[in-house]
Amino acid sequence: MSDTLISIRGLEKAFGEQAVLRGIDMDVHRGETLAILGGSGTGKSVLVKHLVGLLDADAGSITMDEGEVVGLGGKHLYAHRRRFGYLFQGAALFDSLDVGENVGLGLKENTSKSDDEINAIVAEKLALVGLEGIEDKRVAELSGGMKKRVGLARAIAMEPEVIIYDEPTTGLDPVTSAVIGELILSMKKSLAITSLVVTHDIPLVKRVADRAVLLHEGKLIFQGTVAELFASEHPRVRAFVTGTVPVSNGEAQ
Amino acid sequence: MTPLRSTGIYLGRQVIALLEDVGALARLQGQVFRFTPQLFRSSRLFMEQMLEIGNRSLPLVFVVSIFSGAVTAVQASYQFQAWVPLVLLGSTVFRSVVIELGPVLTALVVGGRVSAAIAAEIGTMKVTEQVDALETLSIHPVRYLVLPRFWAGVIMLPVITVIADILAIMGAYVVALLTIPNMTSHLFLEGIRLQFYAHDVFSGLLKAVFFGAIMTMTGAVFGLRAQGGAEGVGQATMKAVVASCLLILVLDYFLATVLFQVIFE
Repeated sequence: MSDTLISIRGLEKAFGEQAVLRGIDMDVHRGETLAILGGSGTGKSVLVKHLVGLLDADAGSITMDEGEVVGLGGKHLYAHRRRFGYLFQGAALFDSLDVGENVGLGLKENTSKSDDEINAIVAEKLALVGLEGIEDKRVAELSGGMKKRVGLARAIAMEPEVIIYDEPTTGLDPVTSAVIGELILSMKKSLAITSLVVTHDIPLVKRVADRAVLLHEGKLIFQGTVAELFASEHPRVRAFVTGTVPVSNGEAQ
Repeated sequence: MTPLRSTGIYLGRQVIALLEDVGALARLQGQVFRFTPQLFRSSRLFMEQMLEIGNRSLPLVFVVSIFSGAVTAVQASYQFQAWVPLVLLGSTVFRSVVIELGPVLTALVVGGRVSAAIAAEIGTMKVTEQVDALETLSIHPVRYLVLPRFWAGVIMLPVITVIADILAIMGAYVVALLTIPNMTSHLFLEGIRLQFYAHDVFSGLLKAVFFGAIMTMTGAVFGLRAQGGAEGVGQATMKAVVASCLLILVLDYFLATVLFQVIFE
């Protein structure tokens, strides 16, 4: 569990005058499920987008298996991205394609597999997320929870080493959120995969995460195990975990 | 701040924005050419886009072409009065249509529709993270989204222009026979034959190739730069249509200058 897969040092990012990440130092261990926590607009999604090269860092470094990620381009960047599966907040399914085409698109475009082989993998991945036989459905016909699950099937189709879940339960009802939580656990069990869960859903963190980090105003104010997170005396951490309003002197109400 | 200074700042910002747009367009065009050898990988998307740009534009082109041809015949006969022999009506209509009216009107009509559709579709994909999703699947958005649309536009607009030319001349022919005294079928066709130059037809089709590139590239560049939500997509769509129409008219002037004052002088 202590084997470091991704190491982030001094990561900074600003959009215009607004500094979003102000020196992030953290590690992701191989095989763990790491929750990346923080309020809305604190830069959680910005942080994980740097891992797959969707955003360029202003300063700092990200290494994965000793290889530098910041500044990667061309073929090297695309090869790096194939190590990741990414479940977007809104699922980001391609609405011009049906479910089967969505799940199989990465395989079709990046491998020399035949249509039959791709169809078999698509069926297998859809079964893993509990959605057998919906290959021919249009994206518009799916509910919010189904979209997330199809997005997850697409993310695991190319058998990545790391899955990034960007706000996987946002906008879902509690039952569907619980189903997504179970899926994250079963992905970890069945695929032995490293998972990064960007969220502010505390029950989800309790259920799925091994460790957690908490972002506040562009900096990490907590890194540790989930048990340590809930035992933390830091006023901001306590306020976030218990859902209370922090007062100006740093104490939670 | 003085009015002069604030006007200067405003104009400066507009110039910078324009240069950014031109830079983005040039960079995207470079990427499209770089990915062109991989067009076969997107053959299905390419065929779909040809169908979208070609077939689905035809009803609009049909109406615009017939009526523009018809009005050309009416206007030409009015301006000829008794001064110009009627035999020249056919050649006037034919040359006006194949050199200018066919390619430019078709490009404006089809270009408005196509650039808006491309900007709206790619813009929506951008703001809903579908473009990012392509990136995370190791699929370059320019290769997957822009490349098939660009080549479909470049190939289909000349094809549509040929159809538009034929329809416009047929419209002019019918109106000339029905409304102009002493006009005969033989006289109209003889006029076309008298002043038929292959390079007129070639020039018109060459223009259509460039206009096809403009309408798809403007749609793509503004779509890929869309930000925010529905409002951002609306802005991108509007900018794409305006840029497409303006660039078509500006490029028409430069192409006409090069073709008719330099190459075919």
